[in-house]
Amino acid sequence: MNGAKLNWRTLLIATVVIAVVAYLMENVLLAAQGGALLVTLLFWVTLAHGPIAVVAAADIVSGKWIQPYKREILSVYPFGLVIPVLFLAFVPNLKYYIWYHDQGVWLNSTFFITRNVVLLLITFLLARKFALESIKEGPKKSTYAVWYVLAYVATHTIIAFDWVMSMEYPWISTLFGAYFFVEAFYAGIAFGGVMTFINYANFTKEYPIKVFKKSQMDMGTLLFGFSVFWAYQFYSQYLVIWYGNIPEEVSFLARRVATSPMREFAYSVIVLLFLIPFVTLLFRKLKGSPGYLLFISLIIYTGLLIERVLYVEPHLTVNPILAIVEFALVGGLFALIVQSRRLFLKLS
Amino acid sequence: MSHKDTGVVNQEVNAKSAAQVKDQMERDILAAIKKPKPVYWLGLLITITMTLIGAAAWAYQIKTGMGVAGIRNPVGWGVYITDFVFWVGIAHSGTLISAILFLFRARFRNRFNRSAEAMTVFAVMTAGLFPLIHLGRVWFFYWLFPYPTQRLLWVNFRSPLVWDVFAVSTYFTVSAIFWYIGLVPDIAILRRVRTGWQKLAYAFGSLGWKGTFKQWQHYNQIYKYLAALATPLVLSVHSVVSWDFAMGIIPGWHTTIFAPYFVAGAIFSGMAMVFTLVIPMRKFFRLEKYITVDDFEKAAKLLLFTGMIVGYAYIVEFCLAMYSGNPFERDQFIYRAVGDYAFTYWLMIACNVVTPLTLFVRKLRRNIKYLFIISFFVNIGMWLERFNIVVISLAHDFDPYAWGTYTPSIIEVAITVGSFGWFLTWFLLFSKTLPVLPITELKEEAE
Repeated sequence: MNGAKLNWRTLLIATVVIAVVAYLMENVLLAAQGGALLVTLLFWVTLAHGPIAVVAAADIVSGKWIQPYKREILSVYPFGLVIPVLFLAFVPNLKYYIWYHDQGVWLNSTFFITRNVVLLLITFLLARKFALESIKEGPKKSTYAVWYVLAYVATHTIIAFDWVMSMEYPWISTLFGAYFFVEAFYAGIAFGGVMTFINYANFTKEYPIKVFKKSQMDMGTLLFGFSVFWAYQFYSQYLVIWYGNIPEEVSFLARRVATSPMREFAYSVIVLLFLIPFVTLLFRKLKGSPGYLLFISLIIYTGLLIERVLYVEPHLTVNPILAIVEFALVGGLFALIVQSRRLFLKLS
Repeated sequence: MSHKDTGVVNQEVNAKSAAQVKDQMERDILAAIKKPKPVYWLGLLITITMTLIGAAAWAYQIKTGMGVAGIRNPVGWGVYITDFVFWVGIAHSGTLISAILFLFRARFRNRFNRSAEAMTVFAVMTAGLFPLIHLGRVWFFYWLFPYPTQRLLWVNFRSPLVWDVFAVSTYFTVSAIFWYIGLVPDIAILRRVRTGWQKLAYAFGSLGWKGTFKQWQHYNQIYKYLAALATPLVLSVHSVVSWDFAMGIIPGWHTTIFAPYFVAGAIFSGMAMVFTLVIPMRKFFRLEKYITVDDFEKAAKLLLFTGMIVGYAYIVEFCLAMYSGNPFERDQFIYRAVGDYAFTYWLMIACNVVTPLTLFVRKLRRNIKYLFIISFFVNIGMWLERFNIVVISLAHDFDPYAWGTYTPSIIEVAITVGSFGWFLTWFLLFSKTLPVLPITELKEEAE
């Protein structure tokens, strides 16, 4: 792939510029509530950490199928630095959180900001350590992989609890953290699906077609497996809340399924994240098609995006224009990072 | 001799030595089911005695009434339900370990799958006894099944306890089939090597297996489909068991993480039980050559991984109870840590969270004796986990006026001991009747 490339300095400048633009749009230009920025953050954080977690998990279990994809997937690690900077742009909007005017020990704005920034930075640093070690098949790759996975789990749990669950205080769901890091993992596998299509020519040039096809089929099977696992987690959370029928719990569901268009969005999430991948990936032929893997990955990303809107919208207004602009800016930066992988991964 | 000729000779030598290796493998594994040694009879005597103690205690309970058990208000679910969940957990992990590792093409699976699947079947047989024991009037057990009747009594389908009946019985059926299908080619080997009535019995059990290409094709297909079917089934079944609790609104029970946490806990406890069973079996049957330290190390990583999921669930449960601001939820978790059952709670943490973390050390992961000890800790810890969930929440729910404590009676302890005896008896009988390692799969691997 040719085109614009980034280095650490230009990446930092671009990140700060996007963060400032997002802040100005949300707080000065439109006096919005930061909903669009939160949706953008919640979506892109899955792609900042999820793909690396996929490689880390594969390295821990010595999975050979990841080999052709490794370079492409690990190339996203610098994006982990973008997230804490963007999060700082969101901080002024914390005042719209239900707990903001009655702060306690845990739900305390200073502690809230500190723990999130620290965790995001630790995750980024560990991702970098792991990516550089793993790409050269270094002896410590499994050790760094374990540390990365631990940081990843902790960070996504805190993101789920802080960024989303605390908006709904006192609503709690103990599964919410696990639900988030599993979704990020799902998004990480889907990134492999996207890269299969984009980089197909290179993959088949570098690896014997049989070897690559096997990896591709494994990628498809993993997507299928995670569609089932996602549904399982979704149902495990939904059923307990619905059956318990406790007002402070069930209101979380009611806000999202009682009225239109939230109801339609809620149903579409199940269709996009479970039904379509589950039914279609049963067919070997579709799993073997790079074009179809791209399609299904985009379907999954659409589902994840809608789900994030569903989380945020009942509490913070999501301005669609701002959402599109911010989403596109961050997405563009993500694409540039992937393009600049040779530099970031120190490849010759 | 030309290079070409040398190549052909080498190939022949390799083929010959491969055949010899496979023959040796078959002999070694079948040697395990030859005439038992005195130590085996001693083991069987102990387990049968334990079973009889349990049976006698149950008979006494039936004759005398449920009053002989320690369960009473407010703790209406005690050791029996703890035992039920513990054994169901062990049961679920066997097939899950075997099926998932099969789908992930993990080679070390072949060293553990036969024992794990056998363990599953025997553990379901054990778990299934506890709802009957807990019923009291066991002769009314059939009331749990929905069937046309004039008694105008219809089971409550909204109750997770009824979901359990269906889930566990379906699971037993699929697990038993999965285990048996995997055994068929090995039973055919036994048919070949045995004589007399044993040959007849194995011939019957081998379902006419000849090992033709077509049979292998069908076998591989059905095995793959059963593995694919068993995996979600296990997830669903243990989730249903977790919902026995989570559907109630009792503090400490009503929590969304229960389903995946129970599933992870089941694999954790099941892996530990596999270690408890396989490590002595490997030594007594001299199978060190086939179940290597490397295999144990890989299995130990699985134990560590699932242990960390369990640890994660403990932390999240506790922290969210504090975070929620719900006084009942918060009080329940504080009570667990410092109340009447603090000892069992902290022992559970030590066994399930702290001890497995030592497996981060490679040297310990590769130490078989250490793994054996760890497996005991985990077994104890996982039993205590179920005890803590079942008992502590009931002992300390919403109304302080209704709080109370529970101590298991001698009858409950005897029945629990009996359940271990029952389970181990079946496992010992299995180890002398059927190959404890999958001969055909290991041969295939050796090719």
